[in-house]
Amino acid sequence: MKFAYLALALLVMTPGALASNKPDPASDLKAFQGYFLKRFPKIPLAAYVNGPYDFSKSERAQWKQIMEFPPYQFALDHGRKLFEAKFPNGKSYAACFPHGGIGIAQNYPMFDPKTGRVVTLGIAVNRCRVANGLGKLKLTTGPMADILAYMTDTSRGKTIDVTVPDNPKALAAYQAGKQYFYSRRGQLNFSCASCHVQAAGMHLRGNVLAPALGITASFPLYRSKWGNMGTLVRRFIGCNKKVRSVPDKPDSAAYRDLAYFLTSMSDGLPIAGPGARP
Amino acid sequence: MKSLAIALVLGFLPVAALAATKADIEAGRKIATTTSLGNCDACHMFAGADEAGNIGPELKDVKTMIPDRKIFYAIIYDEPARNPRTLMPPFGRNAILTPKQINDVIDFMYTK
Amino acid sequence: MKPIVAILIALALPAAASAAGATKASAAREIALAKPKLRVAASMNDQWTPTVAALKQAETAERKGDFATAQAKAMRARKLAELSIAQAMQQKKLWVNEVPR
Ligand code: HEC
Ligand code: HEC
Repeated sequence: MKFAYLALALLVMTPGALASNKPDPASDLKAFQGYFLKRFPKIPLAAYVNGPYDFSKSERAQWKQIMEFPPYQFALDHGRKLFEAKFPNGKSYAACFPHGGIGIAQNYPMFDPKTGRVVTLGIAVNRCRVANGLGKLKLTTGPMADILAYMTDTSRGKTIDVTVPDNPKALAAYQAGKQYFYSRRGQLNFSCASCHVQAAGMHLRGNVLAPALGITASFPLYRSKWGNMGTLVRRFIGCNKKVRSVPDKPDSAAYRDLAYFLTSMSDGLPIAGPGARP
Repeated sequence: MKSLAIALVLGFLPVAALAATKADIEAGRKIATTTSLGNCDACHMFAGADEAGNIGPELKDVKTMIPDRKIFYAIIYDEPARNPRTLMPPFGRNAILTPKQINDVIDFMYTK
Repeated sequence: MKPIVAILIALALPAAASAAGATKASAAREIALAKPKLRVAASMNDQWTPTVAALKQAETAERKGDFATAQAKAMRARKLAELSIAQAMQQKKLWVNEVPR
C-alpha cells in the first residue's frame, strides 16, 4: 500500500520538485533569511530571536516587564542542580558532552554519523542517562526542560551553528525536516510555514505570529499559559494540534528532522534561551 | 447521473433561497465566532468580532463584496480551489462545517 | 456550476447512506472499513485529530449497542481519513510552492 503511494507520488512530482531533491542547505539559508530581511527591512537579523515581540509594542512592553524577574529562574537553578548531581555510578552529565556540556547548546540538533540520525540536545541528555543506567526523561517539560534551560543558559549569546555535514543521511534528514515544515497538514490545512512564514507578524486572533527565523532560539521557555517550562517539541505538539493534526512522538524522526531544519535556518543568530512568554 | 445531480442541487438550493430566519443568523454568528467551528474572526475583522485577527480582509458590506451567494458558498467551501496559496481553511471540502452551517454563516455575514 | 454539483453529490451521498437502517453487522462492517484508511493516513504522517475522535466515538457507540451512531461515526472517520490521505498525496508535490524564494 505504502509503495503504491510512493510510486504515485513520484509519478506526479513536477520537475521543480525533483530538482529540490538535491538539498542545498547553504543556499536555502540565504533565501530563507533574505526573505525575512527583505520583507521586514526595519528588523535586524539578530532581533529575530525576540519572536513575536518585534511586531507589537504592547506585547513587547508586557514581555520586557516579565523579563525583569524571569519566570524561568527557578527552572534554571533546578536544572543546574540536576546537571551537576552525580549519577549513582559516580559519573555525571558533563562526561557525556564536549566541554563538559557547557556552552554547547548552539550546536544542537546535531547529526550523529554513527546512528545516521539527528540528535536534539534533549535526546542527547537521555542518551547520557541511558548510558549511565538511568531511565529516559520526558522530552517536553519537567526535569528535562530544566536541564535544557541550564545548558542553554551557558550558551546564551553564542551563535547558532547547526551546519549540515555533507553526508547523504544528514542531507536526507534535513530535507525531510524541510518538507515537513512546508507541507500542509491537519483538517485545517496549514503548514508550519503558513503561519510562521506567510502570515509572520500578522494577528491570528490575539496572537502575533512569530516569524520562523529565530523561532527556536529562546527554547526551552517558560510560558504563562502552560504555567511551567516547555521544550521546542512541546511547542511542535501544540502547533500540530491547533491545525487538528495528530502530533508525532517527541523523539520521532519527524520532530528531530523538523528541529534540525528549523534550527539550521537560524544559523548565525544568537541563542536567547531560556526564554519567557506571557 | 446527471439527473441525480440536478435533483440533489434542487434539493439544496431552496435552503439557500429561502429568506434567512433570526435563528439561522444567530446560528451563523455562533459558528463564525466559535474557535472549534468557523473561527472566522481568528482571521477576519467584522462588526461584533472580539479580538479579531488580520490575516484575511475585513468583512463589511458583505452583500456588495460578494453579491453572488453561490460564490460566497464556494469561498467558504473550498477557498484553496480558487487560490492554492490561501490560508483560509477549506471548511466544506475538509468537512469542518456542514452545508447547513455554511449557509448559516452566509446568512449571518450578509447582515454585516 | 459543475464543481458545485460534484460537491453536493459528495456531501449528500454519505448522508443518504448513513440514514439507511444500521444493524450490528453493518456498523461492524463500517468500522472495519474505516480502520485501514486510518492506518494509511498515519503511515503518511497526516492523521487528523477529528478522524481519531470519530473512530473512537464509533467504537464506543458500538459497545453500547447504538449501531446507527456507530455506523455514522465510522463513515465519518473513513471520509476524514480519505481526505487526509488525499491531502498528504497532494502535498508531496505542492509543498515546494510554500518555500520562500
Ligand atoms: C495556525 C497557525 C499556526 C501553525 C500552522 C503553526 N503555528 Fe506555531 N505558533 C502559532 C501561534 C499562534 C503561536 C504563539 C504565538 C507566537 O509566538 O507565534 C505559535 C508559536 C510557535 C513557536 C514558539 C514561538 C515563540 O517565540 O514563542 C514555535 C517554535 C512554533 N510555533 C513552531 C511551529 C511549527 C514547527 C509548526 C509546524 C508543525 C507550527 N508552529 C505551526 C501558530 C501556528
Ligand atoms: C486562517 C485564516 C482564515 C480563516 C479562519 C477564515 N478566513 Fe476567510 N480569508 C482568509 C484569507 C487570507 C482571505 C484572502 C483571500 C485568499 O487568501 O484567497 C480570505 C478571504 C475570505 C473572503 C473573500 C473576501 C474577498 O475579498 O473576496 C470571504 C468572504 C471570507 N474569507 C469569509 C470567511 C468566513 C465566513 C470564514 C469563517 C467560516 C473565514 N473566512 C475564515 C483567511 C481566513
